[in-house]
Amino acid sequence: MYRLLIVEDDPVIASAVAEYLAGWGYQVQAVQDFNRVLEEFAAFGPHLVLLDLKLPVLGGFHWCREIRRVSTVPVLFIPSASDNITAVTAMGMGADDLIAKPFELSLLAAKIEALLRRAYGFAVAAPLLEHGGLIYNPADATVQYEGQRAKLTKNENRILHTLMERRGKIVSRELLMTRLWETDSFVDENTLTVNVARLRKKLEQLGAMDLIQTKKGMGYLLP
Amino acid sequence: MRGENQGVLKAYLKERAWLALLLVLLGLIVLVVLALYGTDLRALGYAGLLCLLPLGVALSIDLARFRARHQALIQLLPGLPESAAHLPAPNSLVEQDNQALFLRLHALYREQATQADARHQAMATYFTLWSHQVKTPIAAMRLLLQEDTALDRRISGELFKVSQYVDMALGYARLDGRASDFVFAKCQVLGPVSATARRFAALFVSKRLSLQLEIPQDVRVVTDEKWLSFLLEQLLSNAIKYTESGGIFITWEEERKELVIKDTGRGILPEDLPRVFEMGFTGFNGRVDQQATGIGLYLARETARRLGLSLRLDSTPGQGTRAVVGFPREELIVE
Repeated sequence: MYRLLIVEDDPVIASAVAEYLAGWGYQVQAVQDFNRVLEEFAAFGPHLVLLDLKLPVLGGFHWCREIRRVSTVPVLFIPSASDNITAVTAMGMGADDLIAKPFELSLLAAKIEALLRRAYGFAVAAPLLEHGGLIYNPADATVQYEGQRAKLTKNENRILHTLMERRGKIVSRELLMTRLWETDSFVDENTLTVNVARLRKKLEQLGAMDLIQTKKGMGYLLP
Repeated sequence: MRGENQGVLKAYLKERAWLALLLVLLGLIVLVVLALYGTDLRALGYAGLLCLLPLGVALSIDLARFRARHQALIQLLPGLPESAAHLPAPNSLVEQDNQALFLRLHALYREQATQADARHQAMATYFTLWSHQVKTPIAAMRLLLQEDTALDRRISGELFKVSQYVDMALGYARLDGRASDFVFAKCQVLGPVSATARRFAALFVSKRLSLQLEIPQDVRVVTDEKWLSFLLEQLLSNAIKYTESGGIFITWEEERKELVIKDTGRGILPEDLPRVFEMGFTGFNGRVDQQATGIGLYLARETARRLGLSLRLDSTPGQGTRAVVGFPREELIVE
C-alpha cells in the first residue's frame, strides 16, 4: 500500500486532500509539527510527498532540499496559483511535478498515480478498487473482471474514475462532463453518451453486465 | 520661427515702452528748452542723430539678451529643472526671488509625489498580500464542495466568480503599478488557451455551451504566458456570460497571427461597441445584466496594450461577437 505524506499548513485543505486520497486506497498522513517535517518524513517513510510552498517556520523549498538529501522519493509541489511558480522552477528545486491550488481532487489523484507509476512501476502494488467483481486500476487505466483484462481509453478512464470515486452515489452528467473538460476533452452531451455506451460495452465484453446504471434525468450510478 | 521672433519683439517693446516714452519726453524737454534759448536747430538735429547711434546699439544688444534669456527658459520647460544649478543665473533681484519661489514649489511637489508613491506602493503591497490570503480559504472551500448536488454546484459557481474577481482586482493593481512583472518568453498558444478554457469547464457544462478549439500545437508566440492567460480569461468570461446557446470557437489565423474567440451570444449594439473597453462602461448588455461592472474588457485592453498585442471586437447583435487578439507579425528578438 502506498503511503503519502501531506505537508500543508491549511488544516481544511490538508484534511480534505487526506480524506479524498484515503478513499482511493492510499495510506495518508499529514504533517503536524512544521518544525519537524524531516522527522515525521523519516518516521512515516512515505512513497510520495505532497509539499506546500508557504509553510510556517521554514518554506517548502527548504524541506524539499532536506528530503532530497536523504531520499529520492517523488515530491509533488502543491503551491498556490498566486505563488507564480512554473513546473520548470519546481523541478529545478528538486520536485517531480506540481499542481497549483485550487485544484480538482481527481486531477491531483491522476498526478499522484502517474508519479507513483513512474517511480515504482509495478514494484509496489498500486491501489486497486473493486466494485461488483470489477477490479479497476487507475494507475494504468485497466479493468479486470474474472481474470480478463481490458485497457480503457482516456475518456473511459476518466468516466470510470469518477464513478468509482463516488460508488454508491448517483453521478450527474454535468459532473462527468466537467471532469472530461478538465482533461482538455471538450466534449458535448452526445459524446458523453457515446463514451459511456462504449465503456459499458467494454465492461460487458469482460462479462460485467449492467454495472453502470442509468438514472433517468439524474445521471449514472455504480450501485 | 518668424512668428515667434515677432512675438518676442512685441513682448520686448511692451516691456521697454516706458523707457521709450521717457526718452521721447526727455528729448522734447531738451528740444523745447534749447529752442527757447535760440540754439541752432541744425546743431540740435545733429546731436539728436548722434544720440540715435549709441541708442540703437544699446537697444540691439538689450533685445538680443532678452531673446536669449527667453529661449534659455523656454528650453527648460519640458523637463522641470531640479535645482538652482539647472537654472540660468538670475540677472535681477526679482528673478532671483522668482527662482527661489520656483525651487521651493518644486521641492514641495517632489516631496508630495514621493509620499503619494509610497502610499500607493504600500496599498498595492497590502492588496497583493490580501488577495493571496483570500485565495487559501477559496481553495479550501472548493475542496469542501465535493458533493455532486445542484446546491454544491451553485455554490461552486459563485465561488468561482469570487476567485475571478480576486484575480481581476489583483490584475488591476499590477497593471497600475510601476514595477511591471512581465516576463516575455516564447510560448505555445494552445497551452494557455486550453488551460484557461479548462478553468471555465463547469460554466460551459452548466450552460450547455460547446467549445471548439482549433489551434495547431506548434503555434508559438513571444509573450508573457501568465498575462496572456489573464487576457484570455477576461475575453472568455465575457463570451460565456453573454452566450445563452450555441458555443464558443477559438481559432488561430496563421497569416495574420490572430487569435479569434467567436461566440454565438447576444452580441453588442453598434453604438456600444466603440466604448466597451472604457473602464466602467457597461452599455446595453450591462443594463440587462446587473452584474456587469465594465471592468473585464478594460483590463483586457490594458493587458493587451502592455503585452504589445492588438485587441478588437466585432459584433452582430443577436448573432455573436468576435474578439480578435493580434500578435506582432515580425518575430521579436528575445535577449
